[in-house]
Amino acid sequence: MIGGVMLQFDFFAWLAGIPQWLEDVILWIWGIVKGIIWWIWDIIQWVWAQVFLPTNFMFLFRAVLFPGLVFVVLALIWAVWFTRKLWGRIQDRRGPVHMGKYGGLQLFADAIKLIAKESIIPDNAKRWMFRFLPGLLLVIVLLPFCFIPWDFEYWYIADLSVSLVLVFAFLTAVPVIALLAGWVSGSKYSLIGGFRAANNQFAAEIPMIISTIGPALLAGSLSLMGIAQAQTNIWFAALLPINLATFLVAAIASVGVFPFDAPVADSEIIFGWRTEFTGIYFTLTYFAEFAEQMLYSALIVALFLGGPVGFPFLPGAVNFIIKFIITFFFFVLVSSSFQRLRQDQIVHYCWKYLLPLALLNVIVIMFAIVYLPGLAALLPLGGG
Amino acid sequence: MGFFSVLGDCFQILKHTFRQVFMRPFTYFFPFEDRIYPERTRGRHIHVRQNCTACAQCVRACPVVAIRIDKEDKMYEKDAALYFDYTRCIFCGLCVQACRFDALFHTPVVDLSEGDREDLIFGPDKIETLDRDPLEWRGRRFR
Repeated sequence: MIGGVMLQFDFFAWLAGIPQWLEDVILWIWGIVKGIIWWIWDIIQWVWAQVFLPTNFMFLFRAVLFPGLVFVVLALIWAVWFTRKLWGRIQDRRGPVHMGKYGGLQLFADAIKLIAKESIIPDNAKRWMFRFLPGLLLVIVLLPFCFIPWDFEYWYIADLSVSLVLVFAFLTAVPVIALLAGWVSGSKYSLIGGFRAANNQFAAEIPMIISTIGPALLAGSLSLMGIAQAQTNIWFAALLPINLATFLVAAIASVGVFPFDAPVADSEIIFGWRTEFTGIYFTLTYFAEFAEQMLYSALIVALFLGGPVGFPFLPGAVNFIIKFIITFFFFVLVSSSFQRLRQDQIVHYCWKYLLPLALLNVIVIMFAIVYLPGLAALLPLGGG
Repeated sequence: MGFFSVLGDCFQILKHTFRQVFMRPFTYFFPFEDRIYPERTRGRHIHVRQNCTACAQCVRACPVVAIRIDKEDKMYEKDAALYFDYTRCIFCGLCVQACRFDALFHTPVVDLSEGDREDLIFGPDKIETLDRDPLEWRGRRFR
C-alpha cells in the first residue's frame, strides 16, 4: 500500500468495544446520579447538624413547641372551649358538656365535622383566591405570636426593636383579607361584610395605635420585649388605665366580635364575609377569629399588664399566662355583654370617644412625668 | 352628661354579666337531672294493688280508653291488674278521681320517654312501682 493512508478501521474491534462504551456511558450517568444523591445527602446532614446544634435546637424547640406554634394552637383550642363555656354561663346555659370532661373535646368534634363537610365553592367565586385566603388569614394571625415576650430570659421566640410596629403591620392585613375574601366569594352578602370589616378597621385602628403610643413612649422602645421590661417597677396599667380600656375596646372592634360584629352580623347579612366559606375554609376563619382575640389579649398583657412581671416565685411565662387568661376572660366578657352597633355608630364611637380618650391619657401621663419626678424615676427613661 | 351615664350603664351591664358567669345555669341536664315537680303534678300513675277492688271505675271513667283491666290476674283476694297505655293517656286525672279505694294515684314523674311504642303500655309490673333502672352517665347514676 503506497501513496495512501489506510484507515485502520477494524470493524470487529469496534463491535467488540461497544459494550465497553455502553458501560462508560452508564457509569457516567451513574456518576451524575450519585453526585446528586450525595449532594442531597450532604444537605440533609447539614440541616440535621444545624438542627441539633444546641442553640438552634432550642430555638426550634421554642419556635415549634413551647411558646411557639404547638402551644399557640393548644391555647387556641382551649380559648374556643373557654369562650363557649363562658358564653353559656353568661346566658344561663351550660355550654358544651357532652364530648369529654366538661365538653373539652367539643372543639375536636366540631373540627372533625367541619373538615368532613363538603367544601362548596360558588360559581361566581375566584376559585384560587377563595381557597387561598382563609389559610393566609390564619397564618397572618398566628405569625405575630412569635413577638410576644412570654418571658424575659429564655422563653421567647424573637425580639425585634420594632416588633410592635410589625405586629400592627400583620394585623392590618386581617381586614384586607376579610375584604378580599368577601370580594372573591362572589356574593353580595360577603361583599357587604368585607366592606364592613374594612370599616371596622378604619374606625378602630387609629385609637388602637394611639393607645399603644402611651406604653411605647413610657418605655422608650418600640419592641414588645422592651415595653414589657420597662414595667418591672410599675405596670403601665396603673399609669395608663384609660389607654388600657381604649385599647381593649378598639381591639374588640378590630377583631369584629360582639358588639362590633357588623362584618359577620348573622341576622342582617347572613354571615358577612364568611357567608360562602364552608367546611375547612370556615374552620380556618373561625380559628383565625379566636387567634386574633388571643393575640390582642397577649398584646394587652405585654403592653399594659407588665408582661412576665408578677409573682416572683413563679416563672415569667406562668405569670404571663395567668394574666393572659384573665385578660382573655375580660375580652369574652365585654364581647358578650352588649348589643350590636351599626357601622356608622362604630366609627362615631371610635373616633369621637376612643381617640380623644387615648390622646388624653397620653398627654396626662406626659405632664405627670414632667411634674412628678418620683414617677419618672420608676421608668427607664433616662435623663431627669 | 350623656357620655358618663352611658359609661355607667356599660359598667352596670359588665357587672351583671360578670356575676352571671358565676351563677348556676338555669338549664337542667334533662334526662339525667330534672326540676322538682309540684306534689300534685299529674304524671304517670301508680297502682296500689292491696287497695284495689277490681271495680273497674277507672276504666269506665277514662275518656280515651287508655286503661285495660285484667280481672283474672289476681295477686290478693279481689284485686286486678291494670294496663296503662301512655300513648293514649291525656293525664286528665278522672281515673284517680273515680277510684274510691285509694288504689290509683298520679305521681310527679313526667318523663315517660321509651325507645319503643310497646314499652309505653305500662303493664302491672311497671305501673305498681316507681323503681326503674337508673340512668347512667360517665359513671354517675341518676335517679
